[in-house]
Amino acid sequence: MNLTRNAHDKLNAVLAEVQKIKHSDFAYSDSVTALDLIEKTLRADLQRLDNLTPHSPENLKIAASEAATTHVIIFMELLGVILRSSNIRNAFEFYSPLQALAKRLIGNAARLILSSEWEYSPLTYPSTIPELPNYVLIGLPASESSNALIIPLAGHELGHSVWLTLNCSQQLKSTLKDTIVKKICDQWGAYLKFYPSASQDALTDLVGESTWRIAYIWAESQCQEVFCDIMGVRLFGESYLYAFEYLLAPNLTGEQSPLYPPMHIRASLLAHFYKHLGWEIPNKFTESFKDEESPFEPGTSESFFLSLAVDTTRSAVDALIRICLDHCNSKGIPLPDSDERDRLYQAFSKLVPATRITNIANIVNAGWKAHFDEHLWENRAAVFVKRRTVLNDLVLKTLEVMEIESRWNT
Amino acid sequence: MPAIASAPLTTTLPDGDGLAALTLDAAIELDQLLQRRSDKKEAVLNLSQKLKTTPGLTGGPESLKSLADPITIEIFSRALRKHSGEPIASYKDLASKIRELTSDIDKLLANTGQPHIQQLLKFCIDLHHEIIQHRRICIDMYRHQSKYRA
Repeated sequence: MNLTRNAHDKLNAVLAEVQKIKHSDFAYSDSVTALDLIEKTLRADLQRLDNLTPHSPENLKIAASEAATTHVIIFMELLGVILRSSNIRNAFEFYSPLQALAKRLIGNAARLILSSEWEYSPLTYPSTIPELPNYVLIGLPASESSNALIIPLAGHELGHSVWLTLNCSQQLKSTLKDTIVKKICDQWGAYLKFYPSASQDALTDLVGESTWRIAYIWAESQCQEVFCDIMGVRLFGESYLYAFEYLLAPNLTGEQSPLYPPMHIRASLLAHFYKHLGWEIPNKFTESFKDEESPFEPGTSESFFLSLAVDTTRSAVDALIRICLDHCNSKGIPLPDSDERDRLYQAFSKLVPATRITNIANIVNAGWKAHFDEHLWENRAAVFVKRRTVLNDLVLKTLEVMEIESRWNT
Repeated sequence: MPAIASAPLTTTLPDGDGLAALTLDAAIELDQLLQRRSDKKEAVLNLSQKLKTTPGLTGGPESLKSLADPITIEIFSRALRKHSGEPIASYKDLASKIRELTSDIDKLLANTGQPHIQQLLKFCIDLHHEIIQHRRICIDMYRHQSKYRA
């Protein structure tokens, strides 16, 4: 079999790419450190293959080849992200404030890669790549990668890292399991259609659990996504909603993913949290999102369990809110401040970057306020015609001021 | 009561604790032990420690049920079912299989009794396969189902 030799060659080919990418001009060191970690993992795979002999069992050779190929698959995609993180298309002004926020939320080990993607699919990289521990990878669509007003969506991605750091899955496990079992008992007739020989007593044993485990998995994933949305709002306030609506409304997909609550429910849960914080929800926010179709035929077990997962997620929202608020408060993360937002907005209206900034959220919120002010700069025709670009530059410059002030203060 | 066999397991990548690497390293070490090329047991020790510190895994049926996370249960159930060729119908069965396994690893590490090294090697490969499969399903699922959603 050529399996191990092929795996060897494939690993070396990716290692050669790593070396080439290392010669790129990176603005921040986290991208370079990621390349070092990838190289280390690939070299460990090579060492494993080298430790095999012609007498080693075939299934061990297959296992070592599969492990190597899995890393090749994952790292090729990541190398693209890392390479694009050096592209000047990215607004590097975001980087430092976001990195500071990440460190505050998940600790000093937090590392950030900010990239631009050639798909209109924002922020698709989960922060759960074990070979790159503590990394937050944020990829913005290339057409939006310098748009300062959509930074708040990075709050969602930071939420994934917090979810892992706090081991939220473990925290919620019993609640989710109990809720699902209770909901199955409440709809026992419907469940029996799929498992006619089932008994309620057996629902919590290994075989019984295997019948509804998929509902648990979907609910856990949906809870994580809702948690990340809640985190986005907690960190950025109204601008998270505006950015969320800008990129995702009415929706970008044909049908619901079981891993997410339907878009209109996501929007209503965001609105629920927004009100929980005592803020007034922007006009017609939830109405902007269109219902997605279910991916499953009505009456199927998948459809039953998906509906169960969505209900279970809704039941967990208050617990998710509590975890998010407790964590942010314990880390001293300030809430967005409308007075401060208005002060910065005043600076923008005078076409100057603001100073004395303490919270990135206030900058972006002031940016959105200016964005919605149709009369802003209407007396300055030359500015008015390119108001979007001017506003973006003002927000980016203010982010730079924040970075300089922060360095000065420390 | 058959489960939904085709259902994806989870979106969470399961290898956050390096379990795949630990099992593969242990398998390679056991292979070298069988071929008498080395008597190192460092990777087997690391795997043993990992199994003993995974929440709920080695504490008996009740602890498995209440503490272990569902994905760990799923992965170990599949690997042990494949390894033993026997059905695992209850937490009691699963806990018993895990106990047999850890006891064999302990014997090997302590140089006592007659550990079934060949069997341990096969289990490590089976467990590794389940983790890798799971991870690949997660990658596919994440690519297809998270796109355009943020």
